[in-house]
Amino acid sequence: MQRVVQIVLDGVSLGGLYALVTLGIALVFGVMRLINFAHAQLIMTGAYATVLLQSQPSPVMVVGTVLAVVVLALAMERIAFRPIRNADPTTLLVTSFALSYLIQNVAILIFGLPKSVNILGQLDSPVVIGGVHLSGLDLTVIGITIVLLVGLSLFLGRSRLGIQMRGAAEDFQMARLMGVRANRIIAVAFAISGAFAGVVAVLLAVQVGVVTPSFGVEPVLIGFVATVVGGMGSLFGAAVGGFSIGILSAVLQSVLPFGVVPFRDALVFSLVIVTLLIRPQGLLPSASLRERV
Amino acid sequence: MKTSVREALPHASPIAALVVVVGIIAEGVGSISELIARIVTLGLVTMVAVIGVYIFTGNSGVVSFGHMSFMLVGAYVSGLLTVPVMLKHVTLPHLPGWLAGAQVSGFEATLIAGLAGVAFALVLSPSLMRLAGLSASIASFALLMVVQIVASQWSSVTAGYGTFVGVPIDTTVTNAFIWVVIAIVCAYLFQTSRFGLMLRASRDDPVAAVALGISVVRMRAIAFLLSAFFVAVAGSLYAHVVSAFSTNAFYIDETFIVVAMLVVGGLRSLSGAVVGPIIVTAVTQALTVIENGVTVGSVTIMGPVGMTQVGLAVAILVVLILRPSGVMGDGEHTWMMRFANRIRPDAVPIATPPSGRGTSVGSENPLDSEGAKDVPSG
Repeated sequence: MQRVVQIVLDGVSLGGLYALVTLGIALVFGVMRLINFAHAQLIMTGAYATVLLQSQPSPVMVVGTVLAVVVLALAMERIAFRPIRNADPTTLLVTSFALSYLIQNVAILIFGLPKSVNILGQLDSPVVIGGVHLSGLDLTVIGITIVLLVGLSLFLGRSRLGIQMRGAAEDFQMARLMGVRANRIIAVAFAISGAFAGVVAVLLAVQVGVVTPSFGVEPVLIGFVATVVGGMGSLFGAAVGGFSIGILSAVLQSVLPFGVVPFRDALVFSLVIVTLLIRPQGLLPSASLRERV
Repeated sequence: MKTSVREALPHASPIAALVVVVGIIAEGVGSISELIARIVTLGLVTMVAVIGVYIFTGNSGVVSFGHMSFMLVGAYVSGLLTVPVMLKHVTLPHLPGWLAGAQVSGFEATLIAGLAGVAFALVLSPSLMRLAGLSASIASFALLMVVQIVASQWSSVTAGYGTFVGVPIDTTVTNAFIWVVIAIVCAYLFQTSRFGLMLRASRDDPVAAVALGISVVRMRAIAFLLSAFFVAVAGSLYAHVVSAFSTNAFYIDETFIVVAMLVVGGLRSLSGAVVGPIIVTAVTQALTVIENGVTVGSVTIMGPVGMTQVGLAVAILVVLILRPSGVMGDGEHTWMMRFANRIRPDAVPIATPPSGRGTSVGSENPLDSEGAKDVPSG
């Protein structure tokens, strides 16, 4: 019983983290058709901000990290992506690749050696609920994920900006014709994406404990793939994609025989390819992306 | 519809010019010192890989992030076949018997490596080639991850996370250059062939191409196989330059460099696939020199460590932002093209399919339009 609960919890916690990363990528993809590979460097920057602010009280640290990442995300959009907004998706993708390479190497220049983080230690102590030992960190991640997901869906469902953003994701040209301001909506998408990256940065930094210039690459690779698997252009699909890959990884981790565990990610990515073969547009694609013939 | 070699050749002059230029630079610069020869050789090897990726990506319009997998396959296959048998017993004691005793020459190993790449591509193509656009790119990316993980865990054959050592160093500037020429010629013949033109048509308008009865999947698969061959060959050549390597030499950073070279040169242009690696390699080397310190008169300028990567990324970003379609743009319309037209007034621009014989379509050259007057109109 304990083992099953633990697997489920690990899966949901990992899935929640992946869902946050995937949503960060999907928000930008929705309005710009850009898969932002440099999202990894947003997370990395956030993690370094966490390191620099770790002597401050926790709320200051979290808010400071999120702000730093939001500023970087907005700067990215303004300097690198705005000039090529109308280029084809490939050029956008390669540009984000180059940007990612740039920021990562700047981080190597500035920080060099890995930095250790030792914060929010109280989260690591296990919580006992009904005789089952649960990791406090897992519960925190799940709690934060739920809050952010509910917040995002309220924003997208109820607020004026949120509705405009959904419209822009469905059909950008049409939304512009209806009076949605392109620059503002894209900037908002980048800002939210940055805020999500900031939160993920703090959670990951607490979880991993060491920050290196390649921090954040691994979850973003997953998010990258999950955006497409979940369904391009659909935020709900993105969250589902992130969650399913996280749960799949956690389940495979505990179910696979010992010798096969190192091949876990290979299996996960093979399943990704299979999923794309069966549903090239992803699990839950947005209606506007379907090609009309 | 049949395009023979004889028809393709007259339009090949800019490509020939390109080959000559690359050859002169390579052989000339490569003879300065041993170190520079190594750099030039690696540059040429990368060019083979970039041309290989171009054959698929440039013609089909599907950007592949998975081609480093073929380079990995090529490098390890060729390495396994050429490391001296005695050494193999020590470094890879758990190798299956038939591989442990295998020993062929460098050239044979490179050919076999290329064919291994083709075989791998053949297994993948029925499924992967059905995908297009971003899903295809992401699937190829997933392929890169799968191959990387499997290779780094398969320690009995690849030495796992360790370094694969002892590959004889026998790739020289000359034989790397010969492979560049072979790759350029094959890429050119392919893109002007019937299959190449059909594939390019499907790239520009998939719906129309299907309506014309073009089997997009089959055309893509053909390009994929050819492309896998050259990328795997590049892997083998690479193994024979560096002698020792590990699986992460064929991972995300290298994928980025190769795709960046292609995009900087111009994703849809063969000249771009040749010029891109030259530009990127030149920029990288110049920055490395500065990073290591340059003495001008009595002053020594020394850049900070890591400047090379940062500078390279900035350079690539600048090109992308200022010229999103690459230095060479969409076709082979370059100064070389115009130059070639001046020499041969009857030449038809390369980007134009040689369909309507005698009419020069889409020509920008005044000399050409004079020629066009001779053709009865209507």
